[in-house]
Amino acid sequence: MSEATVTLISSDKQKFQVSKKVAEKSVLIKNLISDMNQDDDDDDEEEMNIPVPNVRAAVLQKVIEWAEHHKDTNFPDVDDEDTRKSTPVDEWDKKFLEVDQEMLYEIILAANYMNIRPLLDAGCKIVAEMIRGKSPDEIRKIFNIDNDFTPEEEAAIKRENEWAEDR
Amino acid sequence: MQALEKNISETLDFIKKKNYTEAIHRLTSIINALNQCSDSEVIEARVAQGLTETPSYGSLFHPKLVSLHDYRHRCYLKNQQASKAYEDAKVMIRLQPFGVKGYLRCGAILESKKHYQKAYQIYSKGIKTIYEAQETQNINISENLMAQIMNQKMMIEKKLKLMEKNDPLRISTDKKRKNNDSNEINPKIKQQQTIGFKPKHPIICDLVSSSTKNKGSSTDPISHLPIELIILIFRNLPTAEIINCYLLVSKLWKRTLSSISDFYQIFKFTRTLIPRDFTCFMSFLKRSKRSCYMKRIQELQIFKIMSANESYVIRKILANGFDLIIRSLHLNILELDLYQFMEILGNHKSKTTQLISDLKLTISTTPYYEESILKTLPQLRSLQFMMINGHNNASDNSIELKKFYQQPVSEFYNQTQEICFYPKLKTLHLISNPHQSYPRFKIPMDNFFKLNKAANLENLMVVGLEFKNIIKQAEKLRSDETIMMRRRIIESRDEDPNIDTLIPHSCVFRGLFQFPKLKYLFLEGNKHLNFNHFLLHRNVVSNLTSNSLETLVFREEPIERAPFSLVTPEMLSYHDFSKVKELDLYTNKFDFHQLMKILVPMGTNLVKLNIGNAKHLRFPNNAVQVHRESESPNFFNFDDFLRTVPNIQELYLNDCATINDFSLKSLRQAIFKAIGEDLTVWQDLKILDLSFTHLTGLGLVDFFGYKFKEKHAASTSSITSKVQRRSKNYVAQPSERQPTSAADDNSLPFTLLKLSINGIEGISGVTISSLVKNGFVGTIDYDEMMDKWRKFGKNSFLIG
Repeated sequence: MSEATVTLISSDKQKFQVSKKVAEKSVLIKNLISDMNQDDDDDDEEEMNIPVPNVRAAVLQKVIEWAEHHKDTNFPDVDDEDTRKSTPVDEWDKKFLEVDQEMLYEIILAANYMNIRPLLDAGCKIVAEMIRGKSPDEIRKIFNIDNDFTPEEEAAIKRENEWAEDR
Repeated sequence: MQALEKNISETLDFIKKKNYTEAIHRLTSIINALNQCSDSEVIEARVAQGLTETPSYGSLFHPKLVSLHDYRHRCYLKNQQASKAYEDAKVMIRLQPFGVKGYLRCGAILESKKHYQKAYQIYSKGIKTIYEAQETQNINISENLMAQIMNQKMMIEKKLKLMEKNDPLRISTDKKRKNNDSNEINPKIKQQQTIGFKPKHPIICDLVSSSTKNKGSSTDPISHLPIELIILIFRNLPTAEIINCYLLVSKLWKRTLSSISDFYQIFKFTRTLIPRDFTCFMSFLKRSKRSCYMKRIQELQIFKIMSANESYVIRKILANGFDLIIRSLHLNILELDLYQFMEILGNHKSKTTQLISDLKLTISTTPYYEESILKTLPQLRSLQFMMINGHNNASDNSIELKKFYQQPVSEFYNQTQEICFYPKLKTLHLISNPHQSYPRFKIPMDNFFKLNKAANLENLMVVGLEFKNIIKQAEKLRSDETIMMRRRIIESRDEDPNIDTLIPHSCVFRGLFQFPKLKYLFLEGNKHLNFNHFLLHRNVVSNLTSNSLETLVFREEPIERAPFSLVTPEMLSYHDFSKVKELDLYTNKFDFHQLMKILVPMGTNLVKLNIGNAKHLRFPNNAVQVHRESESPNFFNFDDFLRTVPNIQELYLNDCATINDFSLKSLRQAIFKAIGEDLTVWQDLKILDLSFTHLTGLGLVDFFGYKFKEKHAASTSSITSKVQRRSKNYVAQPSERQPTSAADDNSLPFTLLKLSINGIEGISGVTISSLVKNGFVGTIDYDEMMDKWRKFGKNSFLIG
């Protein structure tokens, strides 16, 4: 028997045929597949269409690319927040996530929705690194945010939070 | 009670018969009756159901009440009285904020009324509250129900997104309405508006583009991503940066980030804290925890409070007015003494004080008053108590106290003694300045120790106390007769060996530090307490089943006295040490014979051993001595030692004055002898400490079986000139030695991660780098001058 495949259907109805192993990097899809297999015991596995209604084609394609690359990666199954926090982002992932900010957010959202923890963590860390150590002004530039504080308000916040400095 | 059960089951019959109006009528009267129950009746009912007398959180209510409201809510629904059903569901949440059902019912009704936003909020709030409760209160939540509520939340999330696609205007008005109450859900709603990628509605398109068009659209993560993901992102960043910097980015950032209480968990004030900063800090906390049911922080450390304000700040912490829960509180108090501190604590019994589980307190102690910390805070799981000098500068408030000091101890206790036990206490550290005088040679909390008041204590550290009084009393125990009697009783397996008839318990510790679940025991620098006394106490009063100890650190006070010898060594039992994995006897006064007596029961369990600064251990020093002394009990026999503790991973022999190159050579021989007999010894040795011994670089090189190449040798100087001479012998071997090659008989059975050779003069850098380069040792600690370390021993609590 050849490798089992499934077909993922994006929100804009595009079809992606991927191997079951790759698709199962997503816990959501993994659970769906095992539910479907339980429901009907017939062996017609070739007809497995899984809609992924919250993810558009361009994003789904990226997610699949990531899953293909990490097909054989064994991610440690840790629930320990600290370990997840301290593991650095994989170099390939870093390159892979060098995309527009909107795309990055969409990948993060898709990883969250499809329950792909390693991708979600990597995405979140990339965003965090964009922010780390930056001044408010730099952050505004990076994300194109308007400063809606008046100078007085800004000074007041600074004064209020003086206690947290140099800690 | 039974009448109630009957009443309820009759009512349920009505529900089964679908007579809902009658069922509602009956349920209402039962609920009213239960609401009028007195506290004592409620407690009785709780106990009858196998619950604790009072709930761990929230108010006291009848245990049946929640399910009755649940039944009534169902009946109302069947009767098409949704708003009344909703009221009942809300009562369920109020009564049981940590119960899933209330949120589920509320949410379901809201959904059926198409109030999707509200339903979403209810689910999110429920999930958040329950998760927090699980963390703090150890509450068991049915996984089934939890999955159900998560599922509901997800479904509604999808529905919301769908709706917003079809009808973006509606959501946006929804959002505007919500915008005023700066609820935590806010960014979420905003996200739903913007995440639709391309709003279809023309007006919205205009709005979006007009505000941002000239600069390109904003890619603010906070407006693009839901709050769960914002949390995941910012969790990677330091709290201080969030507070100091990110809150200033924009109003949205400030509103969103300051409301995520997960970020604000650990606060360490390393500078002197002034009241203004503290007030700002507290109001920040209050704001950031506003939306949480459990206003909780993990840790608050205050290094120093500006002197005149100590009492003010402490009062503010304890009586903060918003039920802040502080898991772990570390305070250094310089002005107030313990009595004054306890007075504040006693006068501010709030949720905050009742839920501290870990207290670390540095304060000038008030004699006889130490146990009152535990009495006032019986929920403490860990108490670390550092006593500093200073009760002599007691202020006016403690004039009363001076009377206590002068009162005879027994009198004082007769007045106030009520026996309390502290089953929750797991960790107790009593650290004192060993030079501090304490009245009448009492030790703090002696009553606590005498009666072993903490049955579940696992970690005990006692540093720098004076045991003279206790030991003097214990001299009576020295008689062989008492020990024999005790042992006979134990051996005859009497059910109740009445200890109290054997020893005058009023003055003696009931088995020195013999807490049944104790795993970690650290004793250092306690005056007049030596290992001899310690063993004697444990033997006389021990019940031999409590051998849970895994780590034992016993560092005697360095008193230059006659060598330690056991009074009745044959009779004492060491078997309550059989599970010890880590043993530290730095500054011990054993000879080899006595050391072995302690090590034998631990045997294969022992992985970490520190016998540094051992004055009476005589390591093999030269051939003549070996010949002369090998049979004497003083002589350190490596053969026996290796076989007794074959699984050692860390060995500290620092400051053992008799260790020299010959000792290492003997050790090496002993290892190969054992291997020759097919024994596995020391395969896992990772850390070896040989600091402050009389080694030379040559001795080390030989020990590891390393052979220098000519090139290396030529570049060495001074002390390694010896190495040069020796290394010529090896020139015949052309290839450099491969340390990992299994065929090489010279290699030791272990590869060290770390070797410490501090304070040994004149070991050349070449020797050290060669050992590291060739894979014998991971790293080598070498510092010729490390005096501080030498004085106190590794990991000493007294250092610095």
